[in-house]
Amino acid sequence: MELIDNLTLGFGVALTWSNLLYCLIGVVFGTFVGVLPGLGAVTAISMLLPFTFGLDPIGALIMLSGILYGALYGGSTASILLNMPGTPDSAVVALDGYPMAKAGRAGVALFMTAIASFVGGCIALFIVVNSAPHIVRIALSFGAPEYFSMMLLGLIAASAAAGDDLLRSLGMVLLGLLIGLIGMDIVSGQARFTFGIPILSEGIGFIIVAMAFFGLTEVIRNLEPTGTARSITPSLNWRGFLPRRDEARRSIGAMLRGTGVGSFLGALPGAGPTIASFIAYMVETRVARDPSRFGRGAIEGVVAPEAANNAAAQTGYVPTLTLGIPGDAVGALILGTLIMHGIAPGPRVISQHPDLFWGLLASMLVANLLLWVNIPFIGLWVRMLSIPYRLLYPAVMIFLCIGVFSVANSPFHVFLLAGFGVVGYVLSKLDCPASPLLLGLILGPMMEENLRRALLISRGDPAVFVTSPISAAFLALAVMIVVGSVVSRMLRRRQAKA
Amino acid sequence: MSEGPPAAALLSSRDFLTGLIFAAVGLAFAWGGAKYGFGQARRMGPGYFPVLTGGALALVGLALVARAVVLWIGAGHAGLRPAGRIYLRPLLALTASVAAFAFSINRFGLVVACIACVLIAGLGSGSTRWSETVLVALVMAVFSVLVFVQFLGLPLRLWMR
Repeated sequence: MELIDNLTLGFGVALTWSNLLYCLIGVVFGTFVGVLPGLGAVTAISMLLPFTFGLDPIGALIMLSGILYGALYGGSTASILLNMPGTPDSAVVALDGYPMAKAGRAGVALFMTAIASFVGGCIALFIVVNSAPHIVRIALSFGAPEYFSMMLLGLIAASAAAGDDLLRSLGMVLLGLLIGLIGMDIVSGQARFTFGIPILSEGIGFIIVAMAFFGLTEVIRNLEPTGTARSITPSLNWRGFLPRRDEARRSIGAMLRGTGVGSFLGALPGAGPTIASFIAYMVETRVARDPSRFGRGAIEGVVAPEAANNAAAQTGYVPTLTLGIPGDAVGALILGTLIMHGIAPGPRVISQHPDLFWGLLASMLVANLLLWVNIPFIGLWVRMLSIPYRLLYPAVMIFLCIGVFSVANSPFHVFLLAGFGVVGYVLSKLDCPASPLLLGLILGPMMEENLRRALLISRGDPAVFVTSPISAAFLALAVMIVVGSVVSRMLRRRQAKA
Repeated sequence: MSEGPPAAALLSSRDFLTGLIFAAVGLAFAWGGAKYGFGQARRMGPGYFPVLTGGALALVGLALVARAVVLWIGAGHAGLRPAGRIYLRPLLALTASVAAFAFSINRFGLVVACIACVLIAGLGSGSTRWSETVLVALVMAVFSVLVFVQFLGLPLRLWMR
């Protein structure tokens, strides 16, 4: 049984003492950062990323998934208890989680959140185990034209998903691609856009950009005087953890629907856990016999998005690792880490590094289980929420600075962090979403490489992108996404006018 | 279009500004890339992809500008969303705090860099209480030395030599 072998291998890797420890450290730190106001999963990962470089690739990735899961859970905790979602990831859970907490049922909400995460993760793992080899088989037949078209599709899909305005997101992708060009051209050895600064010939690391756009920019935005003073009054009336019987019954269906939505959306390039949780919530409001319960503490509204969230995080690893197409900023960070450790993403990752692939998937379930360790400490996490931001953000600044510095022990990179922080802040004021830029930055070099090879093989004939049926299908999908988003924008405008 | 100065509404709209920035950056990259040698499609030079991508970004920028102008002609500033306000105080203070860290880490060592970083960051918020912030600076300096240098073993210089 190939399936059993793979899972045995995966859990064999995930359950070594050192990897368990990395996972636990990741979960605890992730929860810590995720609970803090204004800091979400992406910020948590980019802040802590440089400190995983000392580990072997598997350990680093396992720690990162631990951080991701911890941060997602920490974010949900803050949402449920305080109606204070740090990031969009956890905004959905607040819709029904906070009313539950106000009714004194925070314990139930948090407990069911953990269960839903676990169920979603388990089922998604099963789906991944069964589908990944097929995707790999197809992907192995891809040549340069197919890869180029697929990356183009991934970038366009991610842009369409990232904001309400496709033009803006596309611009950010292109900006990311251009920033990715800075440095030495691998083929010709030509230094591009380095302005004669030697250290720039190594290129601008994605970590610096991620830290600037998701760390520094966020801190600056949180310090704006318009930020309303947060009144922190966690309503912690524990009346046990267990849901009522009818709630338990309704949760089962909601978890399964959420998992389905999440598994499907996570596997698509361009969609990620955030979108999955929003759509799962929408599905629940449509399916429910009495939609008016939502927003007033319906358990389905807590359970379905959480399950979708985790399922999408799990299936999202498939396009990230096997195709090299990340779905969102978190996937992009994972991909960047992989490349930094010298592992080329692609269909061969599973056959060449099976321990890494299966170990990572297994460790996600382990991370889910380790989250349960957190439950008794919820009171402690909540008390941390009362740390005022004015004490918190200087500490965050230290993490950002030391993190960036330690990438190459170079003060120049820290100056770059400051510069990109300004750029990120200005762009955020123009409502330009940051994650398409990060995706473009990471995919840029690979896209150029595949474009070069495709055109070399076809002797300069661009028709190669449409004569290959797979490539043509990717391009057609990309065109459909563009047309669809343009049309829906026009319809919305007409509606707004009418 | 009697309400307010219409030209200002266009110039401060987020579409117009974003478009200008995109177009300028795209053109700069395309122009810079062209100098590296465009090559041919079958043998792409180092400038091929930059020119392509920079040109595309410039087109996106122009499209944004055009859209803003069309909306402005059609509806005055009713159809245009203004750009968000930039708050200089947190922006400058936090940028300076990062720059101070960068400047001092190799010259004066980690302890001084941490303290400088925290204190300058404190300037960014109106709610800073200086007695607290000084304490945070000292705590973070000790924390960084213990966790990053002693525990994680990062090669950081602690003091000025």
